Amino acid sequence: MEQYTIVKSFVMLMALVGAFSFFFMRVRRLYRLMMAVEGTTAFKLDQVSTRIGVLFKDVLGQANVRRKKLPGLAHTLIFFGFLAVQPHSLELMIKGVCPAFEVGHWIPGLYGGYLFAADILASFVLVGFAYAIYRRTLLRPPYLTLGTDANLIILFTCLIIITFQTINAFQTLLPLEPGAYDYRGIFPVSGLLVPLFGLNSLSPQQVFAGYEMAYWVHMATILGFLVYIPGSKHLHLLAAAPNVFLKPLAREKAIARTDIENEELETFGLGKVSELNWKNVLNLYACTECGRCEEQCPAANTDKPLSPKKVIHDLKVDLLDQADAILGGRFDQVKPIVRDDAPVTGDVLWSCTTCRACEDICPVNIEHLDFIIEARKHQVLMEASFPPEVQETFTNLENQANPWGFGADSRADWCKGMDVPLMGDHPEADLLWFVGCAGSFDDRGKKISRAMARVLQRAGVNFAILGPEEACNGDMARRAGNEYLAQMLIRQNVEILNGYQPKRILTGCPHCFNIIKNEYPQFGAAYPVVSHAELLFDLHKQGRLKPNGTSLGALTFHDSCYLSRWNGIVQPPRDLLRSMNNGQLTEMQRIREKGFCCGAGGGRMFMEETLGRRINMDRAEEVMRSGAATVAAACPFCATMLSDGLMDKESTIAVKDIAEIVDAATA
Amino acid sequence: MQIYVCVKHVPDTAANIKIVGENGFDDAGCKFIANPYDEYAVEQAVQLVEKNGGEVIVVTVGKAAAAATIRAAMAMGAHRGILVTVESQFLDSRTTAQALKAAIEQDGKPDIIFTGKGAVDSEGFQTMYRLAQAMGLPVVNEINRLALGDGKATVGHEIGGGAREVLEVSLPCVLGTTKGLNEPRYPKFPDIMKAKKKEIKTLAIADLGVSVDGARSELVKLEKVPERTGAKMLGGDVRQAVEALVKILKEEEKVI
Repeated sequence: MEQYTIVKSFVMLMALVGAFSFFFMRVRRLYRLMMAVEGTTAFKLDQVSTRIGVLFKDVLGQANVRRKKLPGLAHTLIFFGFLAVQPHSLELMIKGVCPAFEVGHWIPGLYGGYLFAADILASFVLVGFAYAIYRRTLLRPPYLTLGTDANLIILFTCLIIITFQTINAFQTLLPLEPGAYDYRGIFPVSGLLVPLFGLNSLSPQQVFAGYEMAYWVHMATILGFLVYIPGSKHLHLLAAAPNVFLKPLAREKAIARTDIENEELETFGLGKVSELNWKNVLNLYACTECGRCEEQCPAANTDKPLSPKKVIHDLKVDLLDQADAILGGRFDQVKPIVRDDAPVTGDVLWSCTTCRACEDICPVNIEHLDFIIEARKHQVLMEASFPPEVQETFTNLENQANPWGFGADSRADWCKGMDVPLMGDHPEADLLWFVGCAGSFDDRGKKISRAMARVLQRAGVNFAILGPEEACNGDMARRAGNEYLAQMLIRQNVEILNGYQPKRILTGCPHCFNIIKNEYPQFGAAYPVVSHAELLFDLHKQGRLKPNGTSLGALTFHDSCYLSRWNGIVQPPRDLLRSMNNGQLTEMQRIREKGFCCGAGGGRMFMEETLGRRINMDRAEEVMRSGAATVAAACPFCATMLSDGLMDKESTIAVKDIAEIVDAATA
Repeated sequence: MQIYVCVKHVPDTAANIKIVGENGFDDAGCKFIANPYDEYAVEQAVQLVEKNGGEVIVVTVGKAAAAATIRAAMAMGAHRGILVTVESQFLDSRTTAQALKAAIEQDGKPDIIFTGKGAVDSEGFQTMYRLAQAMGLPVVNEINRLALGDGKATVGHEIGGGAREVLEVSLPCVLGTTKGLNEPRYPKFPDIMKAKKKEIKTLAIADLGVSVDGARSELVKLEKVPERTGAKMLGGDVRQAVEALVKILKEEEKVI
């Protein structure tokens, strides 16, 4: 007996030292890899108290995970149960080495309370896993990675919990040494195992053997799990919390400004995994392949080769595969991300509409677009590799500052005879209306602009436009990776805007809105910007736009990604439309921050959609299912995509911009 | 190979030209680009040199601002540039050809001289012929196929009706390029930056001993093409529509 205790102490000591050293070595290697990559980030740790709040809400509170109800609830149960067993498991490890170690000995009351709670929470883990197994075997959602990795993790964790409770059950039957902690009566769930399996009829030797067996299986699985974690998707256990802690706190974000004027730099954008920054790497480590991004992604939903989940996973694999070269500082040996035998292809990168559904839904705040857009920058700037049809768009933007190549000096022709003043003649205007390319040149967009101009005049708004002084906002070029062209256009506009120092800028296009509001400050132009959705609602609230009581019948609203997900503007257009349509508004299925992209974002408006099904058709079908007679959009590109989709479906549903609806309803 | 590419700096066809005086226009308020047909020439020259080694030299006759177009060609891969400066956008083809000839001969010995099939501004379509004639070289215009052999080039050009002529030309020669020959590349960003540092030799046309006074054609007047007005739909049955049409042709348009 004594011999066994000595052997057990020795074996446990070896096992603990071995497993923990292995674990720490692997984690240290991952950490060193994270710090060895060359890329830089502008991230600064700020608002620490807010971030601690985020930890409580999203990590401890699991609020973000539970946005998906049943899987989120299952995750919460597993999370708390698994956390709860750790202190006791740790105690058992130490006890294995020095049998006299017993926490309950020092703080009996508190420890008893803990064990009571942990025993209940542990059993919840099994409930959570019962759901997980049901989901993985019967529901099998297509976005979920079903693999050995996940199955092993479930097996490990279930074994840890089952043996935990078996140990507890046997613990209550072990002879009570004088002065030792009394475990009887404090395991509400494990205690039930005793009568259930008739454990109390076992001989003391059998009880001892049972306890020891459960103990060894428990230790083997928990230490095995520890060794397994750093190399598996369960690295998320370690990386998710810091990733959430460091998440961007604001919904609005800007694409990183590439320092294209720095002549020291030899490469631009993200060409290989060694060019990631530490925050990107933490993002990769944090992913557990839950697939929520893929479930939302308009590209993945229409059978295109892009899945945000796969991009993250593939980059992580690529990074780990090339870790030796990176850790050795041999960056020149690191292979490019887009290469013949690699999964992240040009088709993958160019399928993205930059709708940000992936980032919005990610429970651990991974920023997928940072990878995709930076990789696009590299493809365009360094490789001149992009869908061939975009070349003409780039050339048009370069020559005439609009994607279609209309003469730049005809930019204000849409408002001929409408008495719309130019900023040049009217620099004191309250509102500088940045009309945008679609609103200035596209036939559909011009109609929307004319409606908007009429509405502004009706409401007595003191506004002016830039006319030929305006250039494309740079959104298309920037999101299509052409940072050089984008910065050229942005600088052109920034110079003009700074010349006028506008009090406020109005945009009718969410792409103009987003880039002027969130990205122009990078280039020295920070002005208040208002979207036409917000302004029209404000004017209505002020009583300056009175509805005439006409009704469009059943009306639905399509959220533009660059208003909803990029800037959180979802309510004003809805309130506005209700007011303009006798209180009526029908909602589609995928709305607000979970709205489904029209397919035009990220420069896709100017690319052929040859892979998979067409995104706008998918959305058009949803519009038709809503039963609406009219669908309202707040973006000229959305309007065009929806019109095309509905026309192909031979639907008679009308597509209107909110400005057109307000114009008709207040005439 | 020593390949010379003649590139013209032209107003973008999308730009609205503001006519100044009788035969001038406001070129400060107008976006200029490299003549699109010349881009096929630059691309072809760069591809040939990438394959066979050598040098691509861009030769431009234009105002000082035409340097921007040489830079654009350099971003596509041309190695050097020669800018022959003149005062006017509209030089007659004969003078342009003489200036190009003088600039090329002063610089080196061409294996091939490429031009575009014509410039989109004046649309004279003569310069390559005049240049070839002046230099005593064979010339083929509007080529959309090219294969280089030993001392000769095999070129193809469309002659209408879906037929293509295939011609053999001895080198050196002058070749005018057009759409279909290649896809002009979009320059990589580092190449745009490198182009800023490449050498452009600038000389006035007079320095080449070419006089603009020898021009045999002169631009007398620039006029705006009247804007096309929209179509008008005539309603009613056939009889009413025809009557309305006749009335318009007689009374409004006064053509019958």
